[in-house]
Parts: sequence; C-alpha cells; structure tokens
Amino acid sequence: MALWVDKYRPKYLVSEKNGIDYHLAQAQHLKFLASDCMPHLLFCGPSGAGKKTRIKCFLRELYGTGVDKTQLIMKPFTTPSNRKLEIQTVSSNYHVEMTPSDMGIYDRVVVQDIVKEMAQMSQIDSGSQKSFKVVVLCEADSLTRDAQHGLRRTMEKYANNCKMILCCESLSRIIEPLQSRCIVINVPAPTDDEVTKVLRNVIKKEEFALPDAVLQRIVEKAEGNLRRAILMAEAIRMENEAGVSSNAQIPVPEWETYLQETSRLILLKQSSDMLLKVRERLYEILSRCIPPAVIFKVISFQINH
Amino acid sequence: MQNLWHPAIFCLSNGVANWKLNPDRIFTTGFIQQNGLQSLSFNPVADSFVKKALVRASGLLSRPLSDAKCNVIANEAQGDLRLAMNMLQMNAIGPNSDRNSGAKMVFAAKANREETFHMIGRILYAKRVNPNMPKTGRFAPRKRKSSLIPEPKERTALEHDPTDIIAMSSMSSDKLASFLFENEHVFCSDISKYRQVVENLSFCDMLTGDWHTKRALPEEYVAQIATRSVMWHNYKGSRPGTLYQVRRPVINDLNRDIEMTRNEVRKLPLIGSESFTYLNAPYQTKIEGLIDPRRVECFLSRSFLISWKSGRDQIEDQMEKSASLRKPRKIPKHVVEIIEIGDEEETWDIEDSSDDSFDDF
Repeated sequence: MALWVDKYRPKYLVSEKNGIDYHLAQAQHLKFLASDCMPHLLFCGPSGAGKKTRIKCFLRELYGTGVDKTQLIMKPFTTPSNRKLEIQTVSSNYHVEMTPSDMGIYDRVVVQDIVKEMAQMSQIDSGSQKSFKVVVLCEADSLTRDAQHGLRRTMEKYANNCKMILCCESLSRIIEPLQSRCIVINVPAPTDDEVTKVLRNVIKKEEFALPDAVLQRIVEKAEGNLRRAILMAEAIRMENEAGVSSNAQIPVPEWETYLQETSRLILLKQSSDMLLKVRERLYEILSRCIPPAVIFKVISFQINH
Repeated sequence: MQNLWHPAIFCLSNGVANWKLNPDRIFTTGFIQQNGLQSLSFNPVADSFVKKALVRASGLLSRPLSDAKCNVIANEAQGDLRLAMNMLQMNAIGPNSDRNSGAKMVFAAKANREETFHMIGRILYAKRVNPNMPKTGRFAPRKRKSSLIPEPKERTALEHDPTDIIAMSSMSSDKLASFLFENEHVFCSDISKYRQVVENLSFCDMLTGDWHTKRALPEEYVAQIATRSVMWHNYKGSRPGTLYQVRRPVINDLNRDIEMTRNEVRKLPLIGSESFTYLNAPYQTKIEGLIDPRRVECFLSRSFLISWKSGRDQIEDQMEKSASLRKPRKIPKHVVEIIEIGDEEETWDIEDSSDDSFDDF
C-alpha cells in the first residue's frame, strides 16, 4: 500500500491530468529548459515544497517514461585509507541519483571517483535521444567543502556528456563557484491556499469526507510542508475509520510534543539540575535521529512564542 | 655537560607513573639546544607485537592462556610489554583454574586509569593555593583539625599547572573535553558561568571536528582551552562536600547508537529523503499500524518512555511488550481483504543428485 504522498505525486511538469499543481510559471520554464540545451541545475527550497517532484517531472520531460524504470545499485569505492565503502544509487538508463553526503567525510571520494566515472561514460545511442545523461545529487548542502570543490572541475570538464542536478534546502551552504555554474531553481513552499487545493484533490480521489475545520487545521499545522499535510490527512483517515468529525485531533509525531515539554522546562527554571534534565531529554530525541537543525528550530520557536 | 669527556646517556620514561623524572619536564628546549642533546624516542610497542609476544610466552607455560584472554591483555597493556608480561603472569598462576580461559581477568594497568580520573578531578575541583593554610613543618604549631581555615578573598594561583594535568591525564583532547562536559554541571552551579564554559567546550568541539583545524593545531591546543576554561570558571563554585564520582561521557555511546540507526536507514531504498527520520517514519508507523520493533520506522517512532540508555535489545523487548498490549488494528472498510483459500504450505524436498547434469551445459 503506497502512501498518498507517493500515490498522488505529479508526473508531468505541465499537464491537465497528473500535472504539477502550483508554481506553474516555473514549471513552464523548466519545460522550456528541457527542450533546449540543458544547463546544470540547482533546486533549492524548504522541505516538502516539491523539489524532488519537479526533478522527476523534469527528467520525464527529458527522457520520457524510461526514467521510471529504476534499479537500486550499490556502488563500491575505496577511500584513501583503503577502507571499502558502498554508496546506494538509484539509476535508470538515463540518470543516476545518489546522496554523497551519506558517506560523511568521504563524500569527496564519491564525487571524485564515482561521479567522475559516470560523467566520463557517454550516453548509448546518443543520436536518437539526448546526448547527455543526468546525475542527481541530493542533499547537496550537506556536502563538505572539499567535495563541493571537487565537483567544480567535473562539472566543467564533462559538461557535454553529463549534466548535474543538485538538490538542497539551503543555498548559503553551497559554495559560490558551484552556484555560479548552475541555474538556481528556487522552489518556495506552497501557500496555504495551494496546500488546501492539493489536499482537496487528494481527498476527492480517495473518496472520503474531511470537514473544512479539520482541513484548515491540517493546513495551519503543516506550515507550508505539503508532504506533512498529506501525511497528516492520511493518518487522520486511518485513525478515524468510521468518519472524521469536525473536532478530530490532528495526529502529530510524539517527538514534537516531547520537544514542547522540553521547551516548557527550559523556561520553567534555569538551574544545573534542570540543565541536566533538559540534556537527557535532548539525548533522547537525538537517539531517534531527529536532525539537530529541526530540534533547534522547534525549541527556539517554542521559547519565543 | 659540554666539558664532559665521555658522552652522557639519559634513559628516561615519559610515562605518567614517573612524572617527576619526565624528560619533557626536566629538560627545557634551551638546555637541549645548549648542550647539543640528541633525543631518541621509542614508541609504545604495537598491539600486534605485544599479542605475538604474549602468545609465545603463554605457549611456554604449562597451561597456556586462551587466545581471547591474550587479546584482552594486549589491549590493556597499551603498548607496555613489561606490563603485559606481568599481567600474563598474574593471570597464569593462582588457585583459580578458570583464570586461563574464563571471563575473570586480573588487570595490572588499573593504576593508570585511576590516574586519569584523578586528573579530571583536579581540573573540575580547580583547587587554588590557600595562603592561610598553615605550613607543615617540624617546628610549626599543630593546629586542631576542627578549626576552619579561612578561604582567600581573591583569586589565587592554581595548585596544579593545567599543562601538567593535561599531560598526566594522557587523554586525547576530544575525550578530555567530553569528560569535562559530562561532569561540569555539578561543579559549576552558577548558570552564567556554566554557559561560558559550555560555549568554550562547543568551540573545542568544533575545532576537533573540523578536518583542517584538527590537522593545523597542536594536539594539546583544544585540551588547553577546555581545561583552562573549566578551571577558571570553577572558582568559588559550589563544590560538593564529599568526593564526587566522575561519570563517563555518554555522548560516545549515543553517537554510536545514532550511527547504527542511520546505517539501517541507509539500507532502505531511499535517496535523499531528509525528512524520513522525523516526518515519514512516525506517520508511516501510524498509517500502516506498524508494530514490529525490528522495522526501523517503528524503532524511530518508539515511545519516549523507552529510553535509549537501556540498549538496543532491551528497547526491542519493551517495544514488543507494549505492542502485544495494543489491540490489533481493524481493517478499514475501504480496504478489501484478500483471503486465499486452500493455501497450504508447500514443502520442497531437494534430492541429492549423483550425476552433475549441469556439466553438460
């Protein structure tokens, strides 16, 4: 059973059916870029704004449905200290997708060896299709500076054979020379109206009734994160199988409530004992792999409000 | 020294045990240069060589020690061959026959470890010289034990030099900083002072984590910042009346746990899903009604009543218990249940074949 976020993900940049729902002018531009000589691209925007969806639609526009036939391949590589590591890649005949920052400080080796190796290989039968292939690098803002510098040369040297698509949340963590080599596509978070529109479409397709008051609360809670909004709608559907009443509780992950309580404790008393208690609580949240940036954001928001 | 006819050879150890005769302490750089001293330093013996020597020596005994035990001794000896041999001897003799292969182990290297904790204590207590303290001498009048010695009203010099303490702790900078971070809150009751110490410790953390800085700075630099910051701010702190137990930093265990979970997440067919751990996994567990503790989604969204400190196995046990108490989810009306009729378990028998028919291909 696929999650609604995957089931109702748009498939085309511009289309009546299964097309992208918002930032339509930008989608038109991307379609134009796909038909023209494609440059390196840098997609940037907050989580749940639709960066990956746009990248997938863009690739489909470039190569057709062939990009959907993907396989998971583990690429082995050796670090300078002779350590053998593997990186997970998703690849089709036309593109390769990976997250080099998963390898920590060895991301430089991934960029210099694996990406370079892919870039060196030409596209098969380039006469009947695009002459280049695409390498999608996710979480580019988590790449170390060394890796980003390593990428510069590869991007320039093999630009005819291979185009890069970088995906990141924060542009400020991408070095200037890399930014200048790409066309930056900023994907802002959808507005509340846009999120409401998408949610209504999903609800309609799933044929269930969601009161307007609940829908409104979901949109407010999602804070422009469409993925979160759809996940919340699906969770509320599963928790209320008989039907959603207008005062139904919006399900939130437990770590959020735990962080709210932690923020309350911070404000309650500033002493060594409380400090220790808060530290223990933060360790508890970290052990669940909640990113520190998210923890900081939630706590600072809670403390200020 | 320069007028000596015969060459003089100093043979000194720079170990913690003989700190008073440490060459780093007694020979200054100026003295070495002035007298043209050449220093030859010997590294600790590699663990593999210690192990080799232990196995050889153990083989000569009437009842040799197990391989695992030799490994433990080699690790504990920390490159000191003499210490390794002493430990071998300690573990090979005695009335307990299970010493040769059993789990019990007699360690001779305990003193060094105690020394390390002693040094951390020195940093945290940050004792300062008290000029009011009576000098203990042959003719000094004896003071009654119960009488209180007045504390000095201004910040006096430290009793122990921070550089000496760092050297004697024989710890790496990041390890020392993490020990100080773990225990500082008890020794520094003033929250504003604690904030400054923690700020410095996070600066140290940044220095030790950054690849370029780590290589560019001397090894001791970060330890110096951490130690001096703690010793400066712990002045007139509310020191515990009795001796306080120094706790091991839990951050290393936590990092190991996080890394283990991350590796599991990386095995999933996910590319660049940054929100998986904090958004997808908790909602997916709710939507799909997952209760299997071995599923990483379930593990990530476990209840906060189950602490990470209990360890992976305990966590899974507790999750299983709480899952068994939970009612099974009803199948929603819109989901059509597919029941396979006559679905008997199929059994397969693999017969051994004498002729290898694959050879024909």
